[in-house]
Amino acid sequence: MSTLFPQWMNALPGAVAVGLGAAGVGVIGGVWYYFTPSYWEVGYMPEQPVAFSHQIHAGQLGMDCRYCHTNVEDSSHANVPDTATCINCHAGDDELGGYFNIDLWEAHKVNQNLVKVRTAYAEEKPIQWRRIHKVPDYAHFNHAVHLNAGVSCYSCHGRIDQMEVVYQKESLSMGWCLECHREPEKYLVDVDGVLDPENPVRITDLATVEKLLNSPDQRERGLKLVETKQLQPPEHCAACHY
Amino acid sequence: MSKLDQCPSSKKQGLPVDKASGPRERSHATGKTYWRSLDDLAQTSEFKEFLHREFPANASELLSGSRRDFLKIMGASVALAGAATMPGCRRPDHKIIAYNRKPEEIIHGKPLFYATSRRRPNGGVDLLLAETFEGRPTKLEGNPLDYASGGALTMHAQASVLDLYDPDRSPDIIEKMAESRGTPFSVRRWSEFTEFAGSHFAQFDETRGRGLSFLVEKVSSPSRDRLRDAIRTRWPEAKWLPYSATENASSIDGTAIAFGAPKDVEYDLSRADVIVSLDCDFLGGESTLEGLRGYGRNRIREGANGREARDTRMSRIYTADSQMSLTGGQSDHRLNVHVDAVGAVAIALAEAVLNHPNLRGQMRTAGAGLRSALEQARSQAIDLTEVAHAADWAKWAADDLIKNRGRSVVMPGRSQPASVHALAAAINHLLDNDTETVKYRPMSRDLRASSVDSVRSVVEDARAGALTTLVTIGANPVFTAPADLNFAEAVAQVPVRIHLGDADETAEAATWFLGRTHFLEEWNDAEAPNGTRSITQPMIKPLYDYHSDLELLAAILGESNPDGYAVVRDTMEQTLRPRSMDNAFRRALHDGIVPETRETVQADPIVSPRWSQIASAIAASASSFRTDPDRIDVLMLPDPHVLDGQFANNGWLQELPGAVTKVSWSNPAIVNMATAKKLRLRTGKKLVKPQYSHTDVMEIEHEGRTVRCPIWVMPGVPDNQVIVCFGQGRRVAGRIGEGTGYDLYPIRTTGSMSVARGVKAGRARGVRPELIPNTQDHWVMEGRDIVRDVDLEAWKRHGDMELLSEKEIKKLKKDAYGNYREVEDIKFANRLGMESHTPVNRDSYRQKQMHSYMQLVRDESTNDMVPKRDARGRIVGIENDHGKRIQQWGMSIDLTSCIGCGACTVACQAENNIPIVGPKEVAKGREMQWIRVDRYFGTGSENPLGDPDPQFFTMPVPCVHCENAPCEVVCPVNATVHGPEGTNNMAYNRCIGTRYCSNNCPYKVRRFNYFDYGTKQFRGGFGQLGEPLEGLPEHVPDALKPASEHFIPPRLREKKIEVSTLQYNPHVTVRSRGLMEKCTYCIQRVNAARVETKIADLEIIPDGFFQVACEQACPTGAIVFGDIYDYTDYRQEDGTTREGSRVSLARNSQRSYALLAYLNTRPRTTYQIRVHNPNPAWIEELAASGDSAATDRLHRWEEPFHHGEDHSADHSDDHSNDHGEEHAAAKRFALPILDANGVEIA
Repeated sequence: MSTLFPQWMNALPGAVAVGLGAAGVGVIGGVWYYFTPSYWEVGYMPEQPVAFSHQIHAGQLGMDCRYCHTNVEDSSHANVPDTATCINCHAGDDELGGYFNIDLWEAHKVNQNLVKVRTAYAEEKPIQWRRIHKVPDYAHFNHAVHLNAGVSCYSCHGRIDQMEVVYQKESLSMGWCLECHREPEKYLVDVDGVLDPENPVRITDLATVEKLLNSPDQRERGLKLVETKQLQPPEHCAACHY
Repeated sequence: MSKLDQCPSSKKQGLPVDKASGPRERSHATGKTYWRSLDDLAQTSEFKEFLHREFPANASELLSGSRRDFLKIMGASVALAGAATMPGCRRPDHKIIAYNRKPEEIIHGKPLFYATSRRRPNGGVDLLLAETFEGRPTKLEGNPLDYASGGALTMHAQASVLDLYDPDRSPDIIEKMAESRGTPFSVRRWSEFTEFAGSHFAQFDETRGRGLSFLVEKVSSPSRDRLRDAIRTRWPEAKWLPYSATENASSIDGTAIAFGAPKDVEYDLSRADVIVSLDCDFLGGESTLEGLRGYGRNRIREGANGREARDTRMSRIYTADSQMSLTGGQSDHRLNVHVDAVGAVAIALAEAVLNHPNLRGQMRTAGAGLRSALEQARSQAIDLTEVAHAADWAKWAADDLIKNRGRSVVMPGRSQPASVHALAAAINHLLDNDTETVKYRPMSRDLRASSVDSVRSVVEDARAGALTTLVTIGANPVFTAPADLNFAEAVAQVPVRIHLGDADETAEAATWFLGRTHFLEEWNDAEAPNGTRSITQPMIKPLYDYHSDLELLAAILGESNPDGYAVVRDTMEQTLRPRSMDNAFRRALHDGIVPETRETVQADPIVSPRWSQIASAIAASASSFRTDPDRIDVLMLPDPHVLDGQFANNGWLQELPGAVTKVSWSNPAIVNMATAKKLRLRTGKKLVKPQYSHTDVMEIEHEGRTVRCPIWVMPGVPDNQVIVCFGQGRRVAGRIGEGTGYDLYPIRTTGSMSVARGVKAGRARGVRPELIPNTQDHWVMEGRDIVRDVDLEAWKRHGDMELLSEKEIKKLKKDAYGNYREVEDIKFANRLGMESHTPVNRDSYRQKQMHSYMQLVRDESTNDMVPKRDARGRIVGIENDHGKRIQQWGMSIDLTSCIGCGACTVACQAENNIPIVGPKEVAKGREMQWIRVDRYFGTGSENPLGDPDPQFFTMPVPCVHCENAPCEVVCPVNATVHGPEGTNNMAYNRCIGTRYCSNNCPYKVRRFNYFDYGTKQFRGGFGQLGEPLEGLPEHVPDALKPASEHFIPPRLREKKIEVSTLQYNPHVTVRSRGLMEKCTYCIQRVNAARVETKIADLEIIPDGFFQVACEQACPTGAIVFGDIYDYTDYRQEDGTTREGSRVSLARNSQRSYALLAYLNTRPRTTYQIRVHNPNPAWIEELAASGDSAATDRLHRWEEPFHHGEDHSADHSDDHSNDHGEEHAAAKRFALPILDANGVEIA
């Protein structure tokens, strides 16, 4: 009488056990890695109605962020500029008059993005930008207080001045917020010149800030800033959730 | 209490009655017992259910029915959930819509404040500060530049912002066609109307305006007056008829009798030390905001520098009260008297004043004629000996008035006839009050017109066919006009009826309905009686094709494109002629007060009232000052919340429980127990099973018209009197107002505008008892000494710590076990309660808690950890890593100045996006208001039910923010936790809705979202079992439609209409179903203030830098909020220095106590005890005549404190050994008494 099951089947329970274990680890690992804001949120790069390039404006032309995002130091919101702000430079309604070179004028006539902006402005129909950075409604973030403490745009938004199309650089998760609130010295720059009154750091100068934050003496400098400015970032719920 | 079912999902309908509950405990300071309602007194099972469970039975049941049903529903909900979550996998695409051209002042994320104003009904102006976010007004506050209101605001003005976003505002201009034209109505544009108006009104040029009438609401607006004059000039025979259903006609007529012309009367309560109210509910709506502010300033003024008690000065209130009003409840001497007998009391009062030996001689001669008339009138009026205490009341009130001549005031109420108002004016003159506290000013033409005459004129003209065009502006006469005029029927005969106003009953009857702008959408102006003028500027463009009354009048005058702005500006230019119009106008808009108009109308010079006219008026009306036990009389008052009906569609005001009745969403007829019994009307749970209070419906017949409304039994109401509030029961109002309450206008006739005498009343046949949503037993707390009060005499004699010797303090500090308590625990208020008698809490947990919010040091003498104190003995708070003090927030509520008006509740609702829940949910105890105002009755007699004259306490209770919070320890997910600044916070995103926290909250201040109250459209109620669901997508088959909203995924639920979400404050999260919420101490305002101060490099947030919403709204200044350990010197308005924040001073006051403090919750919200100011001379006389209650009271002035365990103590005992008795008590419990080192004391 032959055996009902071949010999190799003896190994099956073990293999199944190992396989299930591996699958389990895989599932947990998968959830651990993928079900997080740093996977889902980071890199979100929607197409905007007007292909505005931060790389050209903030990078090449070296415009300060605050030229457009005017209220960022006063308010919780870093406002998206009104269309009129674009028109300050890109009016294009009279002849060469307002422009310094002929190329820019030519560009205005053909560039579809600028046409869109000017049409929106003329028709008084606001441009509907797509929102990239968003914290939930129950979390209240305040730009003003962070900037005044010396947290640069760079720390949350990355090198915007190098982004052709803006994308989300950081996860904006609560754990990520708390990383900084627990060790603020890693992310502070001397915005109002308390350490070196001659050379305060321009908070929107992303390249300098990046260099400073990655330099070996950042921690030391940061601790000094924390001490002088008497900073103690809150870690309790109601600082953000109310 | 033994076998309590603690399970919240139990289906038991009630709980076993606690047989062991003994006689009610009496306060030792006043000898009173305190009770919340008649159910509380009777300890009904219904009351106990509210007491023992945070939410009553059936509050949490989800399902009834078979398992099959359950499976079906579950299947359906799974299917729906699948459909709902599929689109949820995608990241939602959020848009940022930037401005095209950003207005200069707008900063995204920051509110912008504008000064504006609101015309009060019946004249006057509310000066406002409107908070706007990106051009949408969200909250109204008082204008802080206005000294008289101090930045406070009444509930009506606060709630009016909700009307702007009312989804029931009709968006169209509608013309109703004649029946022959085929279509019933058509939608028009404003330009079409102006075209029509241009040609239609031009035809009146020939007839000089004959056949044209304007029925307009009563307001005082210089621009409207100017246009009115233009209309009068152009059409001299047109009729301009001001109308208001809530005007105080007796005051207009009464001042006309006394002075020959109607006068606006202003009572300056901030300087009145004795206030005598003749049925005038000045705290409940018969006074102005400024009046309440003044009252709050003078109600209690404490001394300074350790003499706060000895130097305390208070005003004293005598009230002859027929309504159990808020004023009656706050009074020091309340007389429970039938509305018709108040006149007799007034006569007695006048006589007592006239015959008083200390009356000024000149006055004695002046009033001689009046004296004889009064004597005669007295014989016709009811004999005062028939009214208990009335003669004494009049005698002592007169005595006190004379003593405080010039610093007192007599206020007649709207329920009283004109003759009483005239008599009150005479008394005020006799007392020289018109030099100080009473000011008369001329009344404008519109305001003094008689409303009854106005509607009568319209009706008569319409009947005679003499009226061809009727323009109604603002008013709703079809609903509110006296019933016997048959207004609706009469005006139907007018060919052209133009109505500018809400989409109400009058709009329905109009041929042209024009939507009217809200005052936040229009240019307008307003004027106070004292001349202060303000310009109303629009905060937002009209949401629909709406126009203001000024624009309508201008259009009628022939302008094709009327502009409110131009009208207002022209008015200012023409009437004030400022030197620089542009500057003045800009200043007016900025300040909210037109420059150089502040209090420009001087009070009239003091003139002697017309004695003979007053005398004859009194003589003529004296025969009506009689009551008859066989007669039922109905006193009719405007509804305190919806007024004449104009706020009927305002959910905040409908849901706000009545200040006195605690009834919301209804207007039952108020009777006392005896009258209810006499009319065979029943109340109570037993009437309709299974639960919640139902009462019998009463039928009232008057002059052939009948109304029906349920009753509400209130103590303190006179016999044979029914009190009804008209204004509710609107037929055309919107989803909130329609069908809410009962229309009682049918019994209001031209002959009985305030009292309907001799009505036929009884139980209505053929109707079931009706549900009365009320909150009087909701959130009832279990514990002792919740409300604390004391008489001024006792406070003066015992209030100051300095009055105690070292030895006495030492004795008080030591408990029965030899442990020492802190000096804060032996304050006067604590000695009234039990905190100074319970053993000191020495557990390690308490120390840990204290450590979190104050620095502790070791006391050398006792080896205890005690709070560190500064040189002045004040507790020092904790510091952060940098040695900077962390501010500790706290609130103090003064029960002496709180009048229970409810302005705080509405302010909180507006600030914190608190939803309304509807009458059914309120009945189940699910109302969401974060700050509730508890009402307690206090009675001194052994038989509280029989006490005709209960005292009345109001106590606002928000979350008290315990330092040692019971809610926090039971939350399984740490959703409610403490912040370093001492606030108890809710992290909504963590909350999973177990409701353990509210179960464990002794103050019952937590509110749970059973449904999507905040995000779902309100349709008169929220999803109930077995009720059809609306708003499901069409593709959901009927069989799958779930029976309960709980089974619909949030994404598929019916959303709020967009316009009603515009009111929301963007700085506060809108909560969804299944979340717990509660007072946050307006943490959004705290955080905003902190950011501001950080950016401005200030050390701390200074006191008064911001105000929380309830504090800001409180008209009497009873609520203060701030940093409890802030001892900075602050300069005050009057130039003196205040040593510390207001709240730190209030908390350190000897009057300050914490609610349920013996639970060791260490609340941050504390209360200051209520102080009464009875007339000591009267009490002493009563005691001398052998009155036991008065003797008792006198005794309690000597010894107000808690007496250990013996509650019915015989007060003839020697009390010096009280604390010795406690030692003995401790011994009886056989616990060892330990010293500080833990060694037993022999």
